[in-house]
Amino acid sequence: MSRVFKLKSSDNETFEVEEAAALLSETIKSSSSTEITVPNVKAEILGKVVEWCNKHAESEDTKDQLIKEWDAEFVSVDQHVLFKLITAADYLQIKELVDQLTQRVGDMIKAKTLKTVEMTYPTFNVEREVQEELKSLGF
Amino acid sequence: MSSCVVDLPEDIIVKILCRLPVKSLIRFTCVSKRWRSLIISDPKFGKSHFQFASQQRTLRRKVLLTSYPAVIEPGSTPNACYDGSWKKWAEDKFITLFQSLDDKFSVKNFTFPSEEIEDLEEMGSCNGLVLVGRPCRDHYKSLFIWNPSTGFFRKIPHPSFRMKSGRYFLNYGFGHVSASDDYKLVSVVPDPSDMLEVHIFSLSANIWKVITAPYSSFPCWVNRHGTFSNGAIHWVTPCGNKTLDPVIYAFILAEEEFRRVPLPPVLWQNEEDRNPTKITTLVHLGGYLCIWSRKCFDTQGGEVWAMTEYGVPESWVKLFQFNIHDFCNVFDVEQSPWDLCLITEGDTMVLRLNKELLWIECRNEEKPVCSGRYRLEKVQPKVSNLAFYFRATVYDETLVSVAEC
Repeated sequence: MSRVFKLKSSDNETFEVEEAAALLSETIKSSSSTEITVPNVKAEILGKVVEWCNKHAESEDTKDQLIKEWDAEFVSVDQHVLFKLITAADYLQIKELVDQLTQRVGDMIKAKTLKTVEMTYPTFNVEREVQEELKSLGF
Repeated sequence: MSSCVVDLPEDIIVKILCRLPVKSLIRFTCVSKRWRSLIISDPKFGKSHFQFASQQRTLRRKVLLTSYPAVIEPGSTPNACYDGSWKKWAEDKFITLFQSLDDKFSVKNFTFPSEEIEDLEEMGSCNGLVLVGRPCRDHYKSLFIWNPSTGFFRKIPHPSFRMKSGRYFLNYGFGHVSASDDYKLVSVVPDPSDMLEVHIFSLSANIWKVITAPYSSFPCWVNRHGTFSNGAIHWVTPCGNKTLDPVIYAFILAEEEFRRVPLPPVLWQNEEDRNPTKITTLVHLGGYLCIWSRKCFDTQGGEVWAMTEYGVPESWVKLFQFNIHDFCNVFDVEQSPWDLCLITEGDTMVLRLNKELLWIECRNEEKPVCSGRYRLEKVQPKVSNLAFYFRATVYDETLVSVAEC
């Protein structure tokens, strides 16, 4: 009988997670208790992280095309949701989720700055353009 | 919105930046001092970025072109002797020009970060770091490590051991030791006794050392620039020397020892052949140790072999053979000197002509195809009729640098 973990969000909502899904998180793995509070992460975000863990726990082959498509959809979210997810996944130390999310941010930066990179500008314009773009991405 | 983004932990920002190409990151050095310092002057970040990009196979490669005016034979050209222009030539300095060539054949000039720029040559490149020096002249006086992508630059100090007179850089190489994450420059010199000396410079320790070895471990004084592959520098014995084994001599950088790597047996089958075989080791961008074998007295072309599993003699595979006359519609094969520079990952060979580079695809069964061509633009001829020194090699675009010690 596998254990059930309880994850509590910063706005006091609790999510029940099966052992297989929960142990994808290094933080949970090394915790002595089965009840973990995740500070600074609201229910909306924690729920999504739990969803990712559940999906990855039940799929046996992570190289499966279907799960890759599911993952791609999962990370195609609004910027600020993306950054909140990164914070949560980082706290919970779910390496693969962090990798996927940071890859997504990298791709977004590449997509946005590609056109500027191909053109030439005098230095001061470059600086401003790049700063503007990165600002719009939330940096 | 304000709490959402800006405070991402530093290690997450590093993770994101690791996934971006060098070209983008160089542009991002203007975002803030912290980013600039991370991207350009942080050896740890440079290493993480390089490892990630290697794994993901997103490293970009560029061709490094080195050129400077050089006289082939003084006095052989009508204008350059015993008149005002000769004297002028003798006083002029031959500044090296370094350029990069990308896969779209667009060229970018580099400003070399030092004023000592006469007669410099590229002497090896590894993980984006390029070794630059004067192998024909100085005794280790002008040696530099340079990352063309970031501008990272370090002058290699002069060694403290006593230098015997004689020619240096008879055989040299530059490579990476993965276990210690160190870069080493190696120079093998003969000693008047029956020994030889290996001068080794370690980049992370920033010191030189000398080890000695018996002459028999490395009887090979022809192919100057060794090829780095699988943790060792490789050179091949000179042609026609029947007393020597048909092997490649390798200097293992980590253990600092010589070893032998066997050549494809079939190259040595015909021992009565009066036309001995000449073999050179070559850079193969797929990471294989590669050789070019041709007959000494015959400039037809030859064969290119790759060792698909390092150290396993049975794994030598003939990639292709070629005959230079197949390219007579591409260039003047009778008049132009040519040389085989390197082999790309797709098994395309890059030929260097006097002022041009050619990309030639050789498929064993079909006619070879010239798939690309780059002609070097005219470079600062101080005196007319001067020929150019021109070499091409490849470097990776990385952020690799070495910490100060």
